[in-house]
Parts: sequence; C-alpha cells; structure tokens
Amino acid sequence: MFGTGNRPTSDRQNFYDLPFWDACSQGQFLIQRCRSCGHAIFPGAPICPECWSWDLRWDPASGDGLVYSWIRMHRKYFDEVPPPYTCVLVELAEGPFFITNYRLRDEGRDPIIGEPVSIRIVQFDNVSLPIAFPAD
Amino acid sequence: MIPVCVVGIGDTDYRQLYRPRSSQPQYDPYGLAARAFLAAVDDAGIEKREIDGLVAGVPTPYNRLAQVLGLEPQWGITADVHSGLLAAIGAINAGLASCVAMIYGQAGRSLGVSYGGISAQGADRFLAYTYYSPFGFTSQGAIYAMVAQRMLSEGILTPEQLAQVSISQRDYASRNGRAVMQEPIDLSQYMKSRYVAEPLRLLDYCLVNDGGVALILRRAEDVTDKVTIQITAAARSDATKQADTLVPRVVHRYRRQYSAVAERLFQRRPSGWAGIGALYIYDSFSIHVPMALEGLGACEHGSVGEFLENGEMARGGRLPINTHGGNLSESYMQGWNHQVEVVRQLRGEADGRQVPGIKTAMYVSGGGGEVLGLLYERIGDAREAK
Repeated sequence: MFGTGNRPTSDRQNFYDLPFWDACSQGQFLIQRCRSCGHAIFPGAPICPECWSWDLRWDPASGDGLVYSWIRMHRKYFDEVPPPYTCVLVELAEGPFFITNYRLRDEGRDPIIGEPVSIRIVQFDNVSLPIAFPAD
Repeated sequence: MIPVCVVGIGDTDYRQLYRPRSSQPQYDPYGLAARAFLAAVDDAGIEKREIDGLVAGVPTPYNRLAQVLGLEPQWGITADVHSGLLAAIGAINAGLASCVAMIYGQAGRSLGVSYGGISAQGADRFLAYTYYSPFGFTSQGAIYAMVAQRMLSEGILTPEQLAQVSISQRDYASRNGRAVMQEPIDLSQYMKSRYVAEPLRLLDYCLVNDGGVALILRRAEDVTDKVTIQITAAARSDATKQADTLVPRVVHRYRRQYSAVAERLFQRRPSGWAGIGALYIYDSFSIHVPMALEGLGACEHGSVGEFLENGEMARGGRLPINTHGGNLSESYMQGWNHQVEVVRQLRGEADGRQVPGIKTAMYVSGGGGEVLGLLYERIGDAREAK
C-alpha cells in the first residue's frame, strides 16, 4: 500500500530499533522478543527488561490489535501531516502497545475503543510506516 | 525525613509580563530568575552569605546561574522543581547544605518555545516524545488527550465534568492579581473552546508565558521563627515499564504510584484527607486533576466526575485544588508556582482566594513516569488544631 508524500522522521533514532525500521521498508512488521522468558519488547532494547537476558530476536508480528485510545490532532506541527488527523494507541495481540495513525486520511467514522484493527505497512516517499486500519 | 522550612518565596507578575509570542522580551530566563530570587531573599530576610545551596531550574543551568547571582554554594544542581525539591531536602538532611535557594526563570513565550514537533522539549532524553513523529504524535497534549479519551470512554468522566477543572481554576485566578488569565469562564465558553488534541481543548491546556519563581529552604533547627511553613513529608513512586508506549500513563494512569505516594504521606498525617486543607496538582493539562484524584483516592472509587461536578475543588468546596489558578490560568511555571501558592495559603496571605483555616496542604505531580507528593504544614501555631 502507498501513502502520499513524505512523513516526518526524527533525528533521534533508537539504535535497537534499526531492524524494526529495516523490516518496515521490506513490508514486514516485527516485534522484539526475549528468547529466554518470551517477553515481547517494544521499542527495541539491548536487554530484556524482565529477565535481563541478552538473547533477543525480532519476530514477525500478526499486526492484529485493539484500539485502546485515540485522539484527533487539530494543531499543526508538521507540514507533511496536515491536521486534522487521527492517532491511535493500539494494544497488539503480542502484548506491546503501538502508536500510529488510524487510516491515512481523517475521513469516515471515528475509531472506536476496543475496535479490532490490523497493522499494515504503508510506503510513503521517504519511509515505510506501520498504520492501523479497521480489521476486515 | 527531618522537616525543612520554606523561609522565603518570590515570584514575578506574570500578567504584566504576558506579551505577544516572539515579541522582544523584557528579560531572559536569567533576568526572570534574578527577579524572583531577590524577592525571595527579601521575603526570607537572609544575607547573601547564608545561601550555601542552589537548585537551578532547567532553563538556567547551575554554573551560569550561580555566576549571574554571585553565589558560591557548597552544594547545587540543575533540576526541575520536583527533582530539585527532593534533592534540596536530601542535601539539607545529609548536612551538605543548610540554606538552599531554588530558582526558576523561563521565557517560553518570548522565545517561542514549541512543546510539540520534531524538536519538542525533552526530545533528546525521552524517546516517547519524538518516536512517533512520523505519525504526527509528538506533544504532551497528544499524550494527555489519549488519557482523557480513555477516561471519557470509561463512563467515569464527562466533558462537562472535566470542564470544571478549567472553570474553577480560572475562578481562583480571577482573585489572583499575578495570574495571566483572570477573566472568568463558564461551561459554554469551555465547550466552544477549540480542540488542540481532541478531546482536549485550548482551555484544557496550560499557558505558555514568561516568569520566575524562587524558594528559600532552610534546615529547621536554624529557624527561630515561632510559626514556620515546613515540608514535613515527601514521597516518590515511578512507573517505567513500557513508558515509551505510554502504558503507565494511558493504561494505568499512574494509579499504583499515586496510591503509594498518598499512603506514605498519610503515614505523617494519619487523619487522611480530612486534614488536608488544599491540594495542589501539577496541571500541564486539566486531565491531570481527575487522574491524580483517582490515583490518590481523594474521592470514592469511580466518583471523580461527580467530585468535579459538585464543585468540590472550587472555592468553598470540600478539597480546594490549585487555588492560584495553576499552570492553566495563573502561570506555566512548570509546578514551581504551585509551591509559592502553598506557602502563601499556609501563611494566610492568599487574599481573596484564601482557604479559611488551612494548616496542611499536599502537592502532587505525575508526569514523565514520576509521581511525587509533598506535605506542607504550618507548624508552631498556637491555634493549630491537634
């Protein structure tokens, strides 16, 4: 799926998330997981915060989740993301939460708390991003 | 902990300093810090040489601020008001300093500081604040809007009930000559106020303005006054797990941390809420107030909306909250100004907004994963109810 134009990217990179963003550019949505205790970690980290193991790997995630909360931004902070637009906090089936947009444009109905969503990778001109869409 | 006396307070006339954004400022943060500092020194009646500790607010780092004010302390740090107060109490308790000046100056309005966007405040320290910039989610307002949406959806809070936070704080501010915003607002004005990060409206947001605040803290044994204002208990509880994905804030609303802080403060005052004359809550957004009330257990479980609707935080209510107008209506001094108001109230110097008979007040802040609580008491007053 393709998006329009560029999206803002931060100068501040999380070193341990480089595999996550690389996978996004390949159309894949990954979650870091501890091989020792099974804890799912997001954003990426050097060690497991639960058991302090260094044995972590990135696994494909289902992309399934539920809307935990949502907002609509009316104030403009970025030329590339003109308001109004909708952001959702998604509780992923794997456990971690993820913040993203709800659909690509602010149209149609509002997100519903508890609504099942599916994360899909959307390719913008400069970056590929995981975006939430209403589950089929 | 050994209690610490607040012997001096100083602040600036925020309303007089309020000017159009990015206009030529009268002072930079050091000038604003200096104004507040000199007022606090005057209020405390101390000599320059007595100050042996310095907490410098984040906009005016320690080394430069000490130089500007001609201070050569034996202890000091650069910190926000919350970490700064705990550090100063710790330093005094440890004997590292006996008289600490805590000083803050900021010119956020004149300097055109933005609290969202790619270079949002704290961007280089807190991943959560910029990590979501590709999705246009970077501001504190956006984060707290997520909290608000959730509380509204759970049926424990309505928009009209949340409005009471902004309305009652503005009412207090209308009786505070320093406050930037003194014009009373009503429910219809609140509901017409534009959304910034929906469901939060402009009137749910703190101000962006210039000003300075200073406090002088002293070891209690050095203070000879019969009546003193003391910080008698302090507690902190932090939430870090999954903080970058906002779980402690939006999902747990810091309930466990607020509850732990309240429990530890009430070890000092077993009479509980009945003994608290006023509550001060760090309020970058209105939603902080119901969030803190819920976590602290200041009202019955699930009744925070009714608490607000019934005017319990307003003038004459059961538990007056942010009686200066807070960050929403008095001044966005990032919690520093709340400490000054607590002292004014406990001294009985709060003019038209004075809480009658107040002897004890609580301050709490919850943000960035850290929940802090302080107990302030008026000590040595013969009239004090035992």
